Amino acid sequence: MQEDVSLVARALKNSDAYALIVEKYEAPLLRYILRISNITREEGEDLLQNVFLKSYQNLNDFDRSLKFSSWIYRIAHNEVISAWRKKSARAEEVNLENAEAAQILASTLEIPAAIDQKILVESVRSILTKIPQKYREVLILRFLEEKDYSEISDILRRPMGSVATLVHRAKKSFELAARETDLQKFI
Amino acid sequence: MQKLSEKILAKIKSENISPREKWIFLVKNYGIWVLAILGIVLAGVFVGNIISDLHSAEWDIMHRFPGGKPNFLFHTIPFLWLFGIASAFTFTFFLLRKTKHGYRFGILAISGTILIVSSIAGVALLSTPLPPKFREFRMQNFPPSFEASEWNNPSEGFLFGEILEVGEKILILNAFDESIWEVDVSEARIPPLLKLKEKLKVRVIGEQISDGKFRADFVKPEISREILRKIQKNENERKFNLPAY
Repeated sequence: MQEDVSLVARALKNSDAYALIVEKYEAPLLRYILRISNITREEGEDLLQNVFLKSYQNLNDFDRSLKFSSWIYRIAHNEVISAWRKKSARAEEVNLENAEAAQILASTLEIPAAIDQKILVESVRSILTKIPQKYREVLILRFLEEKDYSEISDILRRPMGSVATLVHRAKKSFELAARETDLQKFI
Repeated sequence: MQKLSEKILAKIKSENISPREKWIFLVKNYGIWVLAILGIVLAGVFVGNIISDLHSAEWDIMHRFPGGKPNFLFHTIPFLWLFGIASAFTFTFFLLRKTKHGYRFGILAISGTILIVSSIAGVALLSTPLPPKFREFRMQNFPPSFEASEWNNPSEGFLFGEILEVGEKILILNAFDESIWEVDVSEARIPPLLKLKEKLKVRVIGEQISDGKFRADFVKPEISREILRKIQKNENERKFNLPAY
């Protein structure tokens, strides 16, 4: 966290130092954007570029009592929402990059690891598509991005108690949707 | 292939993009707080007005009010201030949610804080000249709906009119419909601040004894700006010691 604060201070003095922030957060933010939206990688990269430009313009608004990662994830979250508004459509299909991500989410349902990976990925993708966006995003933040409740609270700008409720409801919703997929026999 | 960091730095340099000045964010953040505090003070003023209005309401005649208790409540509940408090509350609520860490608190925590702080502010403001000033504003712009016809119904026990003569324990009243009444006020409850005199308009609650004769249980002033100004003046002088008028 201290490292990020010092990077921000350096970037405020010299824009070249901002490259270090971009390099550090490029991969996780792109993965997050692709996970919570249904855009292509190219569109995701364009969106990511906007995220970094907005973050640079608002560096002086970075609240040092927060983690920098929460702050920049928040900007990414807003950019995705804003992109949805422009397209007037929300994610209809979820980008799940690999079996590992699917396994992590499936593990919340205690599904055996021995299941066919292709079925698992397809089923988890289908489940994520079915559940409401607010649940999908909170599951991704909690289990794939491995954010704690406090970070999720800062990213989604919701009270911590409300985040805990949201995660609980999201798991229930995920489980309910899983019963309508090929995973039902494993639950 | 160009790295993203290089692309971004190139764009920052080519378009002369720079971080916004810190003071812009400070002004925005403090501005939100200033407006939120103003909202709470405003809500406090409305709370003060509500307390002040309810305190000076005619609770003693609630059960004898024309149209009964519902009509009394309709005339007594300060809807304008309630609307004001609801607006100030909503305004403040959204501003507090917009503060840097406002999102960390739930709806109940923020609502409770606004209610408690504005109530404390309201009680504190009661000792200032603000609530009477607000009441004067309301009386001038939104005078209370006073149905003279409701009060001029002797057979139901209500009389409204102008005093023609003041005798010992008797009033001669020219009622709203121009009929003349002799009103026995020997056992009537009359607010201490109400000085019965000729040409004063009063409301009387009691019982019709016969044609042209009425026995008063309560004598109340007509709700008028003049009377209310007197009440306000007295409130300023005596604070909370004013009896229900």
